[in-house]
Amino acid sequence: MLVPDSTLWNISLPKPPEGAKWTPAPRVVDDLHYRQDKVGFMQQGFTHLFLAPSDGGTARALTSGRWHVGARFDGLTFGAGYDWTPDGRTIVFDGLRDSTWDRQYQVSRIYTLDVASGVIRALVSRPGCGTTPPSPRRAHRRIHRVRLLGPHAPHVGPVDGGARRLWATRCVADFGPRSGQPALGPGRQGRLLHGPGSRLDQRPVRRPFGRLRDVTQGRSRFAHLAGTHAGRCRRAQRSRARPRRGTDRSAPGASSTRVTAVNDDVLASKRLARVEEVWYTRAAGRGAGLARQAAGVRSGTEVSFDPRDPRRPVLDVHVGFSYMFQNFAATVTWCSTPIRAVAPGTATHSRTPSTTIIRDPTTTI
Amino acid sequence: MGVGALDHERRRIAPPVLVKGSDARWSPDGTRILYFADGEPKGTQIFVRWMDAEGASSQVTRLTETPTDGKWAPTVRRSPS
Repeated sequence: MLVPDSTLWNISLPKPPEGAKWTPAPRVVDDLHYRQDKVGFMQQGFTHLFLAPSDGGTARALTSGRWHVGARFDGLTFGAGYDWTPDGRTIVFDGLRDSTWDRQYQVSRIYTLDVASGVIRALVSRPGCGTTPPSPRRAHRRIHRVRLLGPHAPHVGPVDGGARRLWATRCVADFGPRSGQPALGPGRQGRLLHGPGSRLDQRPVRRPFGRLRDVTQGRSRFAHLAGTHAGRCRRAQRSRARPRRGTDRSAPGASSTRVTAVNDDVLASKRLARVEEVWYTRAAGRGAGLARQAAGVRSGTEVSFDPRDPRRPVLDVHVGFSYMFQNFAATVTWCSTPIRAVAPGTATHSRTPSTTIIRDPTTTI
Repeated sequence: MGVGALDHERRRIAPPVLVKGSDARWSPDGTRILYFADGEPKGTQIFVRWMDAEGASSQVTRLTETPTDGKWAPTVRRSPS
């Protein structure tokens, strides 16, 4: 929760006449990072953890000070990453407990908070920049998170390692860029679910740099991965013809089961066009015409097609959410049939750049 | 936005809406859910709803700032905000 903290406009002004309504005092900005895309001016204050009784009562501050709970990307907030250890005595969180946080670029640490005493201890000696919150697990008292020390690489280590020695991080996988956000499955194997763009993989975290194994096929995009003790994985999946939906899959080897019906009522009366993506390696020069990836369109590649081709080209332009998604800005696709009705937001023709995946079908995990 | 319960075995949403709120989280013992909704004194507050036939719901915070990302403690008795 945000604890307000701001510098007040302390220049004394004459009192307003009775009944007059004056404009608010100027906003005093003394932080380097004070605004954010899709937010505007960021709220002035610091994010901290509070403990509230579930049966009502006053919330108690667990952390305080001029620093934030929650790793920040260049000062931008994406929430607070924290979780309880299974015994309920400790909270593991990320952030940067340093008053100079505003001037440190992509730096965060993992801390443990003893709930009873309030003692905060840095768990990891080396700073990094996390994109997923730490996740304590019962089986090995290990935590997991992605740290940008070199490539996107999850690390695991014991939660209570501070007294004996500082936590020695261990890299368990190297997914390379465009890895998406992995999730740690429960159980003693601690399998790591991972969605590198269009596939879902899993690997045991105890096996450093173990082989990846696909547990899904086909093109779709995944988000919000989660695992169950029974070895099933739950995810939000989005494909070209359907918006985001929840799916449940026994991994590996079984088929996916759709468990939610988001927007089915909207799509019930719609007849969606069949979408066909055309992918090929573009020949040297401009002879090939159709761009392989959105980047070709963005860079001004001339898009041409044979007018005798019965298929119809469709330029699908995505209005990017922010600058970082502009690589999805435009994709050219061909439709073999005219689009009769397209519900907004239901046809997505773009995909992320391909990611190299190490696969070994003989691996058992 | 409403909070519903997904019946995984029957592959449907049942019932459609339990309460008006968002970001529901089950308590570790499965007896209650924590969720966010508008409350007193202003803005978003944390509520707890018993997942029994009676379905009693109560506001457990009265904060002046907006709580985010609440999680149950494993001991069930407390939830941070």
